[in-house]
Amino acid sequence: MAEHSLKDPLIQACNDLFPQFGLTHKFMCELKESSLNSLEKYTILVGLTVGLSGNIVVSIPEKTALKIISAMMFGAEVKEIDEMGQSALCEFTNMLMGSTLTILSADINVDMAPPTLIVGEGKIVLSRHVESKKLFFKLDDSKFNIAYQTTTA
Amino acid sequence: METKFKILIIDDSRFIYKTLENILKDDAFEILEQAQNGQIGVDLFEKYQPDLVLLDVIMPVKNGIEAAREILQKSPAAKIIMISSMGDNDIIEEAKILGVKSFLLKPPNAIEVLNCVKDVLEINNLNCQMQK
Amino acid sequence: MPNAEITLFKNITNSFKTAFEETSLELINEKLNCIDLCDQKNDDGNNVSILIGITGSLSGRLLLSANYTTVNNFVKKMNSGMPLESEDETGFYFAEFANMICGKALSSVNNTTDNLKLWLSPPVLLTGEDIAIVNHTQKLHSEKLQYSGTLGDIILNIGLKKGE
Repeated sequence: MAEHSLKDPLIQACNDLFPQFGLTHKFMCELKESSLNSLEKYTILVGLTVGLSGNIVVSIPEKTALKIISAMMFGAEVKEIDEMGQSALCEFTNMLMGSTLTILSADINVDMAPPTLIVGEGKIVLSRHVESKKLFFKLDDSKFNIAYQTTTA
Repeated sequence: METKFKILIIDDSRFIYKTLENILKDDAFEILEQAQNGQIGVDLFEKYQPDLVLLDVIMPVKNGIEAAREILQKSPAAKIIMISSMGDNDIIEEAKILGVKSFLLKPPNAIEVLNCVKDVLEINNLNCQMQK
Repeated sequence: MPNAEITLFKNITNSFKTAFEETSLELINEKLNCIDLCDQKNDDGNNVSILIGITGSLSGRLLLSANYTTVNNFVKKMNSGMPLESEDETGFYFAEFANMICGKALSSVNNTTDNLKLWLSPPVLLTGEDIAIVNHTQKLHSEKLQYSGTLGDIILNIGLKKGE
Protein backbone atom coordinates (compact mmCIF):
# COMPACT_ATOMS: atom_id res chain seq x y z
CA MET A 1 0.00 0.00 0.00
CA ALA A 2 1.56 3.33 -1.08
CA GLU A 3 2.20 5.76 1.73
CA HIS A 4 1.08 9.29 0.97
CA SER A 5 3.32 11.55 3.01
CA LEU A 6 2.35 15.12 3.75
CA LYS A 7 5.97 16.17 4.21
CA ASP A 8 6.75 17.32 0.68
CA PRO A 9 3.38 18.96 -0.02
CA LEU A 10 3.58 20.90 3.28
CA ILE A 11 7.13 22.08 2.61
CA GLN A 12 6.26 23.01 -0.97
CA ALA A 13 3.16 24.91 0.16
CA CYS A 14 5.28 26.88 2.65
CA ASN A 15 7.87 27.58 -0.06
CA ASP A 16 5.10 28.90 -2.33
CA LEU A 17 3.19 30.97 0.23
CA PHE A 18 5.65 32.64 2.59
CA PRO A 19 7.60 34.59 -0.08
CA GLN A 20 4.29 35.94 -1.45
CA PHE A 21 3.95 37.83 1.84
CA GLY A 22 7.58 38.88 1.99
CA LEU A 23 8.32 36.34 4.73
CA THR A 24 11.60 34.47 4.86
CA HIS A 25 11.15 31.00 6.24
CA LYS A 26 13.39 27.95 6.23
CA PHE A 27 12.59 24.29 6.65
CA MET A 28 14.92 22.83 9.27
CA CYS A 29 14.09 19.17 9.77
CA GLU A 30 11.45 16.52 10.24
CA LEU A 31 11.32 14.44 13.39
CA LYS A 32 9.14 11.65 14.60
CA GLU A 33 6.76 12.77 17.33
CA SER A 34 4.95 11.04 20.11
CA SER A 35 1.19 11.38 20.10
CA LEU A 36 1.43 13.87 22.98
CA ASN A 37 2.58 17.34 21.98
CA SER A 38 2.95 20.65 23.73
CA LEU A 39 1.24 23.57 22.04
CA GLU A 40 2.69 26.99 21.28
CA LYS A 41 0.47 29.98 22.06
CA TYR A 42 -1.37 29.79 18.70
CA THR A 43 -2.34 26.46 17.22
CA ILE A 44 -4.40 25.77 14.16
CA LEU A 45 -5.84 22.32 13.84
CA VAL A 46 -7.01 20.85 10.54
CA GLY A 47 -8.86 17.56 10.23
CA LEU A 48 -8.47 15.46 7.09
CA THR A 49 -10.92 12.97 5.61
CA VAL A 50 -11.76 10.94 2.53
CA GLY A 51 -8.43 10.07 0.81
CA LEU A 52 -6.43 10.31 4.02
CA SER A 53 -7.76 10.31 7.55
CA GLY A 54 -5.83 12.40 10.06
CA ASN A 55 -4.90 15.77 11.45
CA ILE A 56 -2.44 18.59 10.79
CA VAL A 57 -1.39 20.79 13.72
CA VAL A 58 0.25 24.13 12.94
CA SER A 59 1.84 25.48 16.09
CA ILE A 60 2.97 29.12 16.18
CA PRO A 61 4.56 31.08 19.04
CA GLU A 62 3.43 34.68 19.57
CA LYS A 63 6.50 36.25 17.94
CA THR A 64 5.95 34.30 14.71
CA ALA A 65 2.21 34.97 14.76
CA LEU A 66 2.84 38.73 14.97
CA LYS A 67 5.12 38.56 11.91
CA ILE A 68 2.59 36.60 9.88
CA ILE A 69 -0.29 38.90 10.83
CA SER A 70 1.76 41.98 10.06
CA ALA A 71 2.60 40.54 6.62
CA MET A 72 -1.10 39.77 6.05
CA MET A 73 -1.85 43.42 6.87
CA PHE A 74 0.59 44.76 4.33
CA GLY A 75 3.39 45.31 6.82
CA ALA A 76 1.36 47.25 9.42
CA GLU A 77 2.87 47.12 12.89
CA VAL A 78 1.07 44.61 15.07
CA LYS A 79 1.80 44.69 18.78
CA GLU A 80 -0.96 42.47 20.06
CA ILE A 81 -3.29 39.96 18.51
CA ASP A 82 -6.98 40.85 18.54
CA GLU A 83 -9.91 39.19 16.77
CA MET A 84 -8.86 40.62 13.43
CA GLY A 85 -5.35 39.32 13.96
CA GLN A 86 -6.70 35.89 14.84
CA SER A 87 -8.79 35.91 11.64
CA ALA A 88 -5.73 36.89 9.61
CA LEU A 89 -3.71 34.07 11.15
CA CYS A 90 -6.44 31.58 10.35
CA GLU A 91 -6.75 32.88 6.82
CA PHE A 92 -3.00 32.42 6.31
CA THR A 93 -3.24 28.83 7.51
CA ASN A 94 -6.32 28.27 5.32
CA MET A 95 -4.23 29.27 2.31
CA LEU A 96 -1.34 27.09 3.41
CA MET A 97 -3.54 24.03 3.91
CA GLY A 98 -5.46 24.62 0.69
CA SER A 99 -2.19 24.79 -1.20
CA THR A 100 -0.94 21.63 0.52
CA LEU A 101 -4.01 19.68 -0.54
CA THR A 102 -3.80 21.00 -4.09
CA ILE A 103 -0.19 19.79 -4.35
CA LEU A 104 -1.22 16.47 -2.77
CA SER A 105 -4.12 16.09 -5.24
CA ALA A 106 -1.66 15.05 -7.96
CA ASP A 107 -1.41 11.87 -5.90
CA ILE A 108 -4.59 11.59 -3.86
CA ASN A 109 -7.70 13.69 -3.18
CA VAL A 110 -8.17 14.61 0.44
CA ASP A 111 -10.90 16.68 2.11
CA MET A 112 -10.16 19.20 4.84
CA ALA A 113 -12.38 20.37 7.71
CA PRO A 114 -12.37 24.13 8.44
CA PRO A 115 -9.29 24.92 10.56
CA THR A 116 -9.83 25.55 14.27
CA LEU A 117 -7.76 28.14 16.10
CA ILE A 118 -6.68 27.37 19.66
CA VAL A 119 -5.12 30.08 21.81
CA GLY A 120 -3.08 29.20 24.88
CA GLU A 121 -0.35 26.81 25.80
CA GLY A 122 -1.61 23.38 26.54
CA LYS A 123 -1.22 19.88 25.25
CA ILE A 124 -2.60 18.05 22.28
CA VAL A 125 -2.98 14.31 22.01
CA LEU A 126 -3.38 12.62 18.65
CA SER A 127 -4.12 8.95 18.01
CA ARG A 128 -1.48 6.77 19.66
CA HIS A 129 -1.82 4.05 17.03
CA VAL A 130 -0.60 6.14 14.10
CA GLU A 131 2.89 7.56 13.63
CA SER A 132 3.15 11.34 14.07
CA LYS A 133 5.78 13.51 12.43
CA LYS A 134 6.70 17.15 12.96
CA LEU A 135 8.27 19.62 10.53
CA PHE A 136 10.35 22.38 12.12
CA PHE A 137 10.70 25.76 10.45
CA LYS A 138 12.45 29.04 11.16
CA LEU A 139 10.90 32.39 10.31
CA ASP A 140 13.68 35.00 10.53
CA ASP A 141 14.64 34.83 14.23
CA SER A 142 11.48 33.01 15.28
CA LYS A 143 10.05 29.57 14.53
CA PHE A 144 6.97 27.46 13.98
CA ASN A 145 6.21 23.80 13.45
CA ILE A 146 3.70 21.64 11.64
CA ALA A 147 2.85 18.23 13.07
CA TYR A 148 0.87 15.74 11.08
CA GLN A 149 -0.57 12.31 11.47
CA THR A 150 -2.39 10.50 8.67
CA THR A 151 -3.50 7.09 7.66
CA THR A 152 -5.16 5.83 4.50
CA ALA A 153 -8.91 6.33 4.92
CA MET B 1 -12.40 -30.31 29.97
CA GLU B 2 -14.48 -27.92 27.90
CA THR B 3 -12.79 -26.07 25.07
CA LYS B 4 -13.12 -22.33 25.25
CA PHE B 5 -14.23 -20.26 22.25
CA LYS B 6 -11.36 -17.99 21.23
CA ILE B 7 -12.49 -14.45 20.50
CA LEU B 8 -10.34 -11.86 18.74
CA ILE B 9 -11.31 -8.20 19.22
CA ILE B 10 -10.00 -5.87 16.50
CA ASP B 11 -10.56 -2.25 17.58
CA ASP B 12 -8.23 0.70 18.21
CA SER B 13 -10.24 1.77 21.27
CA ARG B 14 -9.10 0.41 24.63
CA PHE B 15 -12.51 1.29 26.06
CA ILE B 16 -14.30 -0.90 23.48
CA TYR B 17 -11.85 -3.75 24.02
CA LYS B 18 -12.24 -3.65 27.83
CA THR B 19 -16.02 -3.29 27.60
CA LEU B 20 -16.36 -6.28 25.27
CA GLU B 21 -13.91 -8.26 27.42
CA ASN B 22 -16.08 -7.47 30.44
CA ILE B 23 -19.32 -8.42 28.69
CA LEU B 24 -17.82 -11.70 27.52
CA LYS B 25 -16.22 -12.59 30.85
CA ASP B 26 -17.29 -16.21 30.99
CA ASP B 27 -15.77 -19.64 31.28
CA ALA B 28 -16.90 -20.36 27.73
CA PHE B 29 -14.69 -17.66 26.19
CA GLU B 30 -11.03 -16.82 25.93
CA ILE B 31 -10.49 -13.19 24.94
CA LEU B 32 -7.27 -12.79 22.99
CA GLU B 33 -4.94 -9.75 23.01
CA GLN B 34 -6.28 -6.53 21.51
CA ALA B 35 -5.59 -5.85 17.81
CA GLN B 36 -5.41 -2.07 17.45
CA ASN B 37 -5.79 -1.89 13.69
CA GLY B 38 -6.95 -3.98 10.77
CA GLN B 39 -3.45 -5.13 9.79
CA ILE B 40 -2.65 -6.38 13.30
CA GLY B 41 -6.09 -7.97 13.29
CA VAL B 42 -5.36 -9.92 10.10
CA ASP B 43 -1.97 -11.00 11.50
CA LEU B 44 -3.45 -12.13 14.83
CA PHE B 45 -6.24 -13.98 13.01
CA GLU B 46 -3.55 -15.97 11.17
CA LYS B 47 -1.75 -16.64 14.43
CA TYR B 48 -4.66 -17.67 16.65
CA GLN B 49 -7.35 -18.86 14.20
CA PRO B 50 -10.06 -17.61 16.59
CA ASP B 51 -13.61 -18.97 16.64
CA LEU B 52 -15.03 -15.46 16.44
CA VAL B 53 -13.84 -11.99 15.46
CA LEU B 54 -15.36 -8.76 16.78
CA LEU B 55 -14.27 -6.12 14.30
CA ASP B 56 -14.44 -2.33 14.28
CA VAL B 57 -14.88 -0.47 10.98
CA ILE B 58 -12.96 2.80 11.31
CA MET B 59 -9.36 2.05 12.28
CA PRO B 60 -5.95 3.37 11.30
CA VAL B 61 -3.62 1.52 8.89
CA LYS B 62 -6.30 -0.87 7.65
CA ASN B 63 -10.02 -0.42 8.17
CA GLY B 64 -12.47 -3.13 9.19
CA ILE B 65 -13.95 -3.69 5.72
CA GLU B 66 -10.49 -4.36 4.27
CA ALA B 67 -9.57 -6.58 7.21
CA ALA B 68 -12.81 -8.57 6.86
CA ARG B 69 -12.17 -8.98 3.14
CA GLU B 70 -8.67 -10.36 3.76
CA ILE B 71 -9.70 -12.68 6.58
CA LEU B 72 -12.63 -14.10 4.63
CA GLN B 73 -10.54 -14.57 1.50
CA LYS B 74 -8.11 -16.76 3.41
CA SER B 75 -10.69 -18.33 5.74
CA PRO B 76 -14.14 -18.28 4.14
CA ALA B 77 -15.67 -19.98 7.19
CA ALA B 78 -14.44 -17.24 9.57
CA LYS B 79 -17.15 -15.84 11.83
CA ILE B 80 -17.04 -12.05 12.04
CA ILE B 81 -19.32 -9.63 13.88
CA MET B 82 -18.68 -5.98 13.02
CA ILE B 83 -19.11 -3.42 15.79
CA SER B 84 -19.06 0.24 14.82
CA SER B 85 -20.24 3.75 15.68
CA MET B 86 -20.88 4.25 11.96
CA GLY B 87 -24.08 2.52 10.96
CA ASP B 88 -24.19 3.82 7.38
CA ASN B 89 -26.44 1.58 5.29
CA ASP B 90 -23.82 1.23 2.57
CA ILE B 91 -21.16 0.09 5.06
CA ILE B 92 -23.53 -2.50 6.55
CA GLU B 93 -24.49 -3.66 3.05
CA GLU B 94 -20.85 -3.98 2.00
CA ALA B 95 -20.04 -5.94 5.17
CA LYS B 96 -22.91 -8.37 4.62
CA ILE B 97 -21.92 -8.92 0.98
CA LEU B 98 -18.41 -9.79 2.15
CA GLY B 99 -19.79 -12.46 4.44
CA VAL B 100 -19.78 -10.79 7.84
CA LYS B 101 -22.29 -12.57 10.10
CA SER B 102 -23.72 -9.59 11.93
CA PHE B 103 -23.38 -5.87 12.58
CA LEU B 104 -23.75 -4.18 15.97
CA LEU B 105 -23.67 -0.49 16.86
CA LYS B 106 -21.58 1.17 19.55
CA PRO B 107 -21.64 1.62 22.46
CA PRO B 108 -21.81 -2.16 22.90
CA ASN B 109 -24.93 -3.24 24.74
CA ALA B 110 -24.28 -6.29 26.95
CA ILE B 111 -27.48 -8.14 26.10
CA GLU B 112 -27.24 -7.46 22.37
CA VAL B 113 -23.58 -8.53 22.26
CA LEU B 114 -24.21 -11.75 24.18
CA ASN B 115 -27.23 -12.68 22.09
CA CYS B 116 -25.37 -11.97 18.88
CA VAL B 117 -22.30 -13.96 19.96
CA LYS B 118 -24.53 -16.83 21.01
CA ASP B 119 -26.29 -16.80 17.64
CA VAL B 120 -23.16 -16.61 15.55
CA LEU B 121 -21.34 -19.30 17.53
CA GLU B 122 -24.53 -21.35 17.67
CA ILE B 123 -24.31 -21.79 21.41
CA ASN B 124 -27.59 -22.94 22.91
CA ASN B 125 -26.91 -22.96 26.60
CA LEU B 126 -24.81 -20.03 27.56
CA ASN B 127 -24.43 -19.38 31.27
CA CYS B 128 -22.91 -15.98 31.46
CA GLN B 129 -22.55 -13.44 34.18
CA MET B 130 -23.66 -10.17 32.70
CA GLN B 131 -21.49 -7.42 34.07
CA LYS B 132 -23.99 -4.57 33.65
CA MET C 1 -27.29 31.74 5.82
CA PRO C 2 -30.13 30.85 3.38
CA ASN C 3 -33.25 29.26 4.91
CA ALA C 4 -32.68 25.86 3.29
CA GLU C 5 -29.21 25.73 4.81
CA ILE C 6 -30.48 26.78 8.22
CA THR C 7 -33.06 23.96 8.12
CA LEU C 8 -30.39 21.50 7.11
CA PHE C 9 -28.09 22.75 9.85
CA LYS C 10 -30.85 22.39 12.46
CA ASN C 11 -31.60 18.83 11.30
CA ILE C 12 -27.95 17.88 11.57
CA THR C 13 -27.62 19.55 14.97
CA ASN C 14 -30.63 17.61 16.19
CA SER C 15 -28.95 14.40 15.04
CA PHE C 16 -25.92 15.28 17.16
CA LYS C 17 -28.12 16.19 20.09
CA THR C 18 -30.00 12.88 19.87
CA ALA C 19 -26.75 10.97 19.43
CA PHE C 20 -25.24 12.65 22.52
CA GLU C 21 -28.30 11.93 24.63
CA GLU C 22 -28.60 8.29 23.54
CA THR C 23 -24.91 7.55 23.84
CA SER C 24 -24.47 9.19 27.25
CA LEU C 25 -27.55 7.38 28.57
CA GLU C 26 -26.18 4.03 27.39
CA LEU C 27 -22.74 4.67 28.81
CA ILE C 28 -23.49 6.18 32.23
CA ASN C 29 -27.15 5.27 32.71
CA GLU C 30 -28.11 8.85 33.49
CA LYS C 31 -30.26 11.29 31.51
CA LEU C 32 -28.50 14.66 31.41
CA ASN C 33 -30.30 18.02 31.43
CA CYS C 34 -29.76 20.19 28.38
CA ILE C 35 -29.49 23.97 28.24
CA ASP C 36 -29.02 25.86 25.00
CA LEU C 37 -26.14 28.29 25.55
CA CYS C 38 -26.91 31.13 23.20
CA ASP C 39 -23.66 32.81 24.18
CA GLN C 40 -21.34 32.09 21.30
CA LYS C 41 -18.17 33.40 22.89
CA ASN C 42 -15.03 31.35 22.63
CA ASP C 43 -14.94 27.96 24.32
CA ASP C 44 -12.73 28.26 27.37
CA GLY C 45 -12.69 27.44 31.04
CA ASN C 46 -12.88 23.74 30.34
CA ASN C 47 -9.61 21.93 30.68
CA VAL C 48 -10.38 19.04 28.34
CA SER C 49 -11.76 19.27 24.81
CA ILE C 50 -12.20 16.74 22.07
CA LEU C 51 -12.30 18.11 18.56
CA ILE C 52 -13.56 16.14 15.54
CA GLY C 53 -13.56 17.63 12.05
CA ILE C 54 -16.52 17.18 9.72
CA THR C 55 -16.37 17.34 5.93
CA GLY C 56 -18.74 16.66 3.06
CA SER C 57 -21.95 18.41 2.09
CA LEU C 58 -21.48 20.58 5.17
CA SER C 59 -18.12 21.09 6.85
CA GLY C 60 -17.18 22.10 10.36
CA ARG C 61 -16.42 20.45 13.66
CA LEU C 62 -17.75 18.96 16.83
CA LEU C 63 -16.31 20.07 20.15
CA LEU C 64 -16.93 18.20 23.36
CA SER C 65 -15.60 20.02 26.44
CA ALA C 66 -15.56 19.55 30.19
CA ASN C 67 -13.27 20.10 33.15
CA TYR C 68 -10.88 17.44 34.46
CA THR C 69 -13.15 16.39 37.33
CA THR C 70 -16.16 15.83 35.11
CA VAL C 71 -14.11 13.91 32.55
CA ASN C 72 -12.63 11.69 35.26
CA ASN C 73 -16.09 11.05 36.73
CA PHE C 74 -17.54 10.32 33.33
CA VAL C 75 -14.91 7.86 32.13
CA LYS C 76 -14.95 6.03 35.44
CA LYS C 77 -18.69 5.55 34.96
CA MET C 78 -18.02 4.40 31.37
CA ASN C 79 -15.71 1.80 32.89
CA SER C 80 -18.47 0.42 35.11
CA GLY C 81 -17.32 2.44 38.11
CA MET C 82 -13.82 0.98 38.07
CA PRO C 83 -10.66 3.12 37.80
CA LEU C 84 -8.92 2.92 34.43
CA GLU C 85 -5.80 0.84 33.76
CA SER C 86 -3.83 4.10 33.74
CA GLU C 87 -4.59 7.83 33.98
CA ASP C 88 -3.40 8.26 30.38
CA GLU C 89 -6.45 6.30 29.24
CA THR C 90 -8.83 8.99 30.53
CA GLY C 91 -8.50 11.23 27.49
CA PHE C 92 -8.79 8.30 25.09
CA TYR C 93 -11.98 7.08 26.74
CA PHE C 94 -13.49 10.57 26.52
CA ALA C 95 -12.40 10.77 22.86
CA GLU C 96 -14.12 7.45 22.21
CA PHE C 97 -17.32 8.92 23.71
CA ALA C 98 -17.04 11.81 21.23
CA ASN C 99 -16.36 9.34 18.41
CA MET C 100 -19.47 7.36 19.22
CA ILE C 101 -21.63 10.49 19.27
CA CYS C 102 -20.29 11.58 15.90
CA GLY C 103 -20.60 8.14 14.34
CA LYS C 104 -24.18 7.79 15.47
CA ALA C 105 -25.13 11.32 14.34
CA LEU C 106 -23.48 11.04 10.95
CA SER C 107 -24.96 7.64 10.23
CA SER C 108 -28.39 9.03 11.03
CA VAL C 109 -27.80 11.95 8.66
CA ASN C 110 -26.19 9.86 5.89
CA ASN C 111 -28.93 7.21 6.04
CA THR C 112 -31.94 9.49 6.12
CA THR C 113 -31.07 12.57 4.08
CA ASP C 114 -30.87 12.30 0.32
CA ASN C 115 -27.82 13.70 -1.42
CA LEU C 116 -26.12 14.40 1.90
CA LYS C 117 -22.88 12.75 2.88
CA LEU C 118 -20.65 13.66 5.81
CA TRP C 119 -17.27 12.33 6.93
CA LEU C 120 -15.27 12.61 10.17
CA SER C 121 -11.60 13.16 10.90
CA PRO C 122 -9.99 11.36 13.87
CA PRO C 123 -10.56 12.95 17.28
CA VAL C 124 -7.94 15.23 18.81
CA LEU C 125 -7.68 15.75 22.55
CA LEU C 126 -6.77 19.20 23.86
CA THR C 127 -5.91 19.86 27.48
CA GLY C 128 -4.68 22.92 29.34
CA GLU C 129 -5.54 25.25 32.20
CA ASP C 130 -5.85 28.29 30.00
CA ILE C 131 -6.72 27.36 26.44
CA ALA C 132 -9.48 28.93 24.37
CA ILE C 133 -10.97 27.49 21.23
CA VAL C 134 -11.77 30.44 19.01
CA ASN C 135 -15.17 30.37 17.36
CA HIS C 136 -15.32 33.47 15.17
CA THR C 137 -12.70 32.83 12.53
CA GLN C 138 -14.41 30.33 10.23
CA LYS C 139 -17.90 31.82 10.09
CA LEU C 140 -19.51 28.59 11.16
CA HIS C 141 -23.14 28.46 12.07
CA SER C 142 -22.81 27.00 15.54
CA GLU C 143 -24.90 25.71 18.37
CA LYS C 144 -23.66 25.25 21.91
CA LEU C 145 -25.43 23.00 24.39
CA GLN C 146 -24.64 22.36 28.02
CA TYR C 147 -25.50 18.97 29.43
CA SER C 148 -25.58 18.72 33.22
CA GLY C 149 -25.83 15.81 35.58
CA THR C 150 -24.46 14.34 38.79
CA LEU C 151 -21.02 14.00 37.19
CA GLY C 152 -20.74 17.65 36.13
CA ASP C 153 -21.27 19.66 32.96
CA ILE C 154 -20.33 18.75 29.41
CA ILE C 155 -20.50 21.25 26.56
CA LEU C 156 -21.46 20.04 23.10
CA ASN C 157 -20.61 22.56 20.41
CA ILE C 158 -21.41 21.89 16.76
CA GLY C 159 -20.26 24.32 14.08
CA LEU C 160 -21.01 23.86 10.38
CA LYS C 161 -20.97 25.74 7.11
CA LYS C 162 -21.67 24.85 3.51
CA GLY C 163 -19.11 22.33 2.29
CA GLU C 164 -16.71 23.25 -0.48
